[in-house]
Amino acid sequence: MTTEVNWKRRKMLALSVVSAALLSATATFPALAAFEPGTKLTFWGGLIFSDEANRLLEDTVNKWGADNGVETSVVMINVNETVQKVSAAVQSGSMPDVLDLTLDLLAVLAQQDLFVPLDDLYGKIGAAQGGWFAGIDQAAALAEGRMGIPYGITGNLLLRRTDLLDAAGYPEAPKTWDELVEQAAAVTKESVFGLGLALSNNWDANLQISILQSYGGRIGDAEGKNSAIDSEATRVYLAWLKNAWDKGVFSPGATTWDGAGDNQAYLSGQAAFIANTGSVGIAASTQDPELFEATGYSALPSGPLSTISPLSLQLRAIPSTASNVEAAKALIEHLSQPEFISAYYAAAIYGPVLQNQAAFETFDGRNAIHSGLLDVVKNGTAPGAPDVYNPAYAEISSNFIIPKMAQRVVVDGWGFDEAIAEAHQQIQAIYDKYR
Amino acid sequence: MTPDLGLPGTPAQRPLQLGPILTWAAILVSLVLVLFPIYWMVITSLKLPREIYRVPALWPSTFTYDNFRILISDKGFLTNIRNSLIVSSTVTVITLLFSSFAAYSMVRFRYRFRGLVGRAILFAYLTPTSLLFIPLAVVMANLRLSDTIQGLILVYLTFALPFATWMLQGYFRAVPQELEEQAMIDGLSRFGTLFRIVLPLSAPGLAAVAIFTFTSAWNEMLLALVLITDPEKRTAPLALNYLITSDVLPWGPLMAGAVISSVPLMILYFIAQRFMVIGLTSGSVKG
Amino acid sequence: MWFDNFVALSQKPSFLASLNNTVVLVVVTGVLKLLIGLGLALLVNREFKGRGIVRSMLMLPWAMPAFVAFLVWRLLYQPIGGGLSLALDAIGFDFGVIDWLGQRSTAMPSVILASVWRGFPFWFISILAALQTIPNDLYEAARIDGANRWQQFWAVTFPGIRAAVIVTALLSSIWTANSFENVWLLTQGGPSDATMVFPVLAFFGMQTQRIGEAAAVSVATLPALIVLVLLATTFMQRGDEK
Repeated sequence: MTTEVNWKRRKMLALSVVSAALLSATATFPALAAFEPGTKLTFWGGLIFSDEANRLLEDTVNKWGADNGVETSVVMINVNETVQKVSAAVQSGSMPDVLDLTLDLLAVLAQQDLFVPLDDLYGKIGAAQGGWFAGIDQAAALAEGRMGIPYGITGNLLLRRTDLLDAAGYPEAPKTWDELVEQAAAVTKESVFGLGLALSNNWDANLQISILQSYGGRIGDAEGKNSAIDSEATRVYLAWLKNAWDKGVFSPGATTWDGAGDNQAYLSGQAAFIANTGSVGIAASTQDPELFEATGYSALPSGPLSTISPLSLQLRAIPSTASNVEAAKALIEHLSQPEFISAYYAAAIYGPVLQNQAAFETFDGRNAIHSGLLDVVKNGTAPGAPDVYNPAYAEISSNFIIPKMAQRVVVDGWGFDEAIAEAHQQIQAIYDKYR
Repeated sequence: MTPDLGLPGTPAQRPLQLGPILTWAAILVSLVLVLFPIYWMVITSLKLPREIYRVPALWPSTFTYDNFRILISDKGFLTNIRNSLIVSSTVTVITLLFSSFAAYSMVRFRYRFRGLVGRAILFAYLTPTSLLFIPLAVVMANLRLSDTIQGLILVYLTFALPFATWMLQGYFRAVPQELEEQAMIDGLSRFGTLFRIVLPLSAPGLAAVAIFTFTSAWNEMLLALVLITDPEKRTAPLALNYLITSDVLPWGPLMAGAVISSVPLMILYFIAQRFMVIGLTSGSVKG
Repeated sequence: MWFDNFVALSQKPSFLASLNNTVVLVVVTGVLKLLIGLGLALLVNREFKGRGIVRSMLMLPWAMPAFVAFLVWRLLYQPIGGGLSLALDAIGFDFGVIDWLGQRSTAMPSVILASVWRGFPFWFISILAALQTIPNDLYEAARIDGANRWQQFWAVTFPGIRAAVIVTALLSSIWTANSFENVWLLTQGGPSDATMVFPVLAFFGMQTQRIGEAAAVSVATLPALIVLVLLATTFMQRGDEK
């Protein structure tokens, strides 16, 4: 019910903002190209692994500033450290005018009214470029409205060692989690382990949530208000996990891997399968051509009920403390133009967000990583889906409760009921806080 | 045989001393154990990625200086080293000066709430940085010192001063009070006593505190991350952290950076440890 | 509000594990750092050629940012081809594939080993400095009284470094109780909750901006630390009255 009200309010707001923008645009058309002299704009861009992409972004913003009479100052912020940096900036009132961040962080911060609604801009950019992909459109809809403009997605691809798997008689990528374990078992030997999936207290291990969901398990109920972890489907998932663990196909170290652990194992030639966003492929292409040649990419396997492959979104947002919102919006719009973004996608490893972007040369199928990402955009699932993605869900994810349940079974040897009971109690406690 | 406990004295006075061979054996074993991780860091900094991952070995098969080149010419790491030098030396000098006064007063003077003040200094130290960084960022913004080297220095001082004050108290206590009394009878002022008697006698302690303060400021990362935004003002640890831009770690440049940034500390340690000689103190006491 | 946060904290299943692990980490690393720091300080307090270099080298574990130090240990602890396994192999201990960090039996000892390596130089240098403040005359007097080495250590050396050791122990305990990088970079508190400590639990809360809860977790060890400070300060200030 409340969501409906929100919807209406959002639409009203969008309409009024759009019409106001149109009015002011037509009224002041000649002055549109430039902003008031002395306009300053600070942009915190997302620093990623590709120096080329970083430089391109920085140069494009500065050139835009020079063309439009805006004094731009671009600082590339390490995406790994955005949470700390932004937490401090919010409290001390030193937020920039435009900021790149993840949907997870944006969703949490938007609840505190820290961002300018961008429904008008979101609609405008979408309309100009063939519309947003459905998954993006669904994922980027927050209760507060369109609080950020998506500029790229990441998602997991399954990387596999085709050399080892071909030799073992498995030329095709595994279609299901069971097939994955079967293939992994076939190539596991002394110094190579089949399954490089993290089972630690870390974001990578939240892939276990997707596997659980593809077996029909759910974290919360249909409203996203109560725990629903205690189900038969959860037990089937845990049985799959226990079976794989007992076969010894998981890489040693998987129970304490950090975000880089699986990649390290794969690049070291010690894991036959990992789930990765593409960074490993890029690293291998320059550092280890032999391994790069022997790597195949495919979509994540399916469970008995569905395939869950969550999209994770990168967005640009405008903090409500921004000194010149119009300039900030103009910059974000400029950065969504094909001239820039097609070159940016070629250097970065983000999947596209707008339908027209699918036609970029980068995604024409010649590069397995980029086409894999296009595939994730088209077939991927919204964050949390089929569970309801809300602040409670985000907190359950960031406390790694599902990976912890998995570890209870494989590390601590707990029975399924015991492990599920603990997870249930924690999940319920978190849902209760947001009531 | 009684073990030798490294007590001072001339060989003639120490008939039960372990042979120099055994001493050296103990030193060598300690060095090997302590330095093995450092060794691993150094050889990793000299390897290409493929070798780091695919051919782990105790000795690299080919050496490369690429990682150092990337760091110094592409990433401008020496600018970061310079920033760190400015921050750490300033913090160390100010800390040594003010904590000497504070520690001396807490050791030698009797005043109301002295015990309380002493404890309050430490209580301020109990809260973890992971919690303090937000309020500190707010304070710095209010002082208009966000994103400045001066602001960072100020923040580090708030950690270094209480710490140094407490460390120094221990060393000042060891200075015989009679020496000070004698000096004051001879006409030295309080300041004179502090500078001419107490500080020289506490030289090992001051050297230790200088090492602590400088090292802590040199290595600090989290506060630098939230307070410094401008790439030109980043300190060395912050710059190293900024090398990690994806979930594939840049081991080579990271380790090369660690090697470069440990060189100034190594030099500092070498100089500072010269003050840790028994003659300095005992000589003065006798004289 | 604050009370709620504490209630929520004590109900977390990892609470007891964190409490236990934090105490173990503080006490065990503290004792080991004291023994190693004291032993090395006594060892290099004597005169020998190259003493300056040896002393500086023994401090090197401290000469790098904490996150770099623990990343190096991650490399050393790699189950296959890690520096530790290779080194053990080279001196004749071939254990095969050992998941140092990833199994309950070795996870905590591995975290402790890395933390001690990183932390002992602080003890080493403060004890070394304290040793210099002991006047030689005291040793001479003890010798004249016929004290052997052990007796000299307990009668002269130990009282001379006591104050420094107390302060070092106090500060080091505070650091260890609040230290985050060692556990976060090595194990993230895992496997399961085998190495979970309060700072890591607090970090989970910070990720979703639940700062109140994170604060409650972060200060969970505060009562114990306050008692420690009171004990240490009383101990030291009593020393003044003598």
